[in-house]
Amino acid sequence: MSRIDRREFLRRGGALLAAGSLPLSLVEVAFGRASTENFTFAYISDSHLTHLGGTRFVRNWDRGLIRAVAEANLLEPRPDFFFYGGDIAQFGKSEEIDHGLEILAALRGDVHYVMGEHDYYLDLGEHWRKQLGPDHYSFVSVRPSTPLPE
Amino acid sequence: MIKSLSLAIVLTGVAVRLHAAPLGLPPVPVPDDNPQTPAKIALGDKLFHDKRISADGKVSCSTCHEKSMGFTDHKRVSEGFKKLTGTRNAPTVINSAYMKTLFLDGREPDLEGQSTQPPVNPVEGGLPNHNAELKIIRADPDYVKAFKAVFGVDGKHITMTEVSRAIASFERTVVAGDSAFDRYYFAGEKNAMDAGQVRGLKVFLEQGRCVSCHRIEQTQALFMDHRFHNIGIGFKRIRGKEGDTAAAFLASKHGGANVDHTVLSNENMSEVGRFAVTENLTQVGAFKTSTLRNIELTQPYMHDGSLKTLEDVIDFYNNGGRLKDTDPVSPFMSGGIRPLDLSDQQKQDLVAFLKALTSPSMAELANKKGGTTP
Repeated sequence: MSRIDRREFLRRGGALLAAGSLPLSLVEVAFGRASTENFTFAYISDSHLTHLGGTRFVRNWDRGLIRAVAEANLLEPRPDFFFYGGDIAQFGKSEEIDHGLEILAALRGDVHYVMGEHDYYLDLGEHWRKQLGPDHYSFVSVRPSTPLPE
Repeated sequence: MIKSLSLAIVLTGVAVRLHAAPLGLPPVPVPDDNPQTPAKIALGDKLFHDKRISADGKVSCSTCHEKSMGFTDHKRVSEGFKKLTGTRNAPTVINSAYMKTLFLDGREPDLEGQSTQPPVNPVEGGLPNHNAELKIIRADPDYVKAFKAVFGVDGKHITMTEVSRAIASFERTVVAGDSAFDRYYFAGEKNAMDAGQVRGLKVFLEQGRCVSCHRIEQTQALFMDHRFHNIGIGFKRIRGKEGDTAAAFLASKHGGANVDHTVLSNENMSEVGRFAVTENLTQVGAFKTSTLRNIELTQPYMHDGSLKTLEDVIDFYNNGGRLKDTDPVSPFMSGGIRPLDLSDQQKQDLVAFLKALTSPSMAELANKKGGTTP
């Protein structure tokens, strides 16, 4: 077997990029409003922020979400919107959901949310709906330069 | 215990041959295409210390990797020709033979590749290109003779391949274990470490969480994990400008700029860390875990040389990757970095333990010049 050469080393370094371990990725979707209008979004989920009492939360999960938000804000080209795929909270507590929304407010762009079972099971989703609206919805994502659909 | 002195293994596609090592270290991996020979090591030693291989004839590898200073330079950041300064603290050469990537951002895969960069970096050796480096070497009859004997090449056919292989071979001999910790932990000498150092080891393994990255294995300890982490150092410099800095770096790199030159010449861009190599957003501000062996001899500390003492380093970690516990936390910081709540006694013990990682051979080299070892 031959030694790894410089080019191969750099290529492998790049390949790791595609297999990043954070819950963060950029997806190009091939069916926008018209066939020529692809769009992209960044996906974050499963923060499982855990309330310990008072203003204290488990640090690990907080740091993970803060970091995901910071990294998502660096994506270039910019995604058309952000998608939060559920489980802001660990125990479904209102403190956890509010704490997560405060961190997610730093995302630069529109964010669309899905309710996770951890967000749901303490109060059957009541607080989540109060903060974010109905749990079943559709939306139109519009780039700032694109005219609104008629 | 591994008894074979030349056990061939295959690691990530690289055929390497292993050689025996001091207590506490694994066998030294040596690439198949660059076997160690005494003559090659001597040639590499000479090249390593040769100040002529620089733009002003005053800078050698040993300028920043001085053996009496734990193979560092005791400067915050390294000083090259014309006293030009870079952006990073010189990492030690000691035990670099075990590293899976070289430079603090891992931008070179091996010692051979690493050794080719500093002589032609504009703030280090300052030579315009490798031809200028080869011209200096080819003009010296002693080198011509040595390269012929070691590699079988004539003067005008000496290339950077031979030069880098000789330097790497020498560096693979700069290996040091046999510390008080090694005797305590691997040889069962219960009195090798004093009571404070033994308590410090416990902090290192438990509440201090140090061992998560500065690894100790069952039969050996390199005190590194070959990985890259953002621990909060350098955050202040590019705070709030991470995105702009990363984007400016990429524009420069994709425009053809040399990464080695950029990261050592531009203080802000230096702080993007491993991202400079992989362009992976999860590695903004991440730097390679340094070994802790002989750490007592290699102050100041951290990739930017910003912390002067081991006590400063422990305080930094104890505050969760901050100088003061009221400082903001970098959003890009590794989740493993968190406030440790260590007592003053635990912090003292941890520093005492770090001083148990000094190898007698390196302490001796340092003492010869009034070094810092006890």
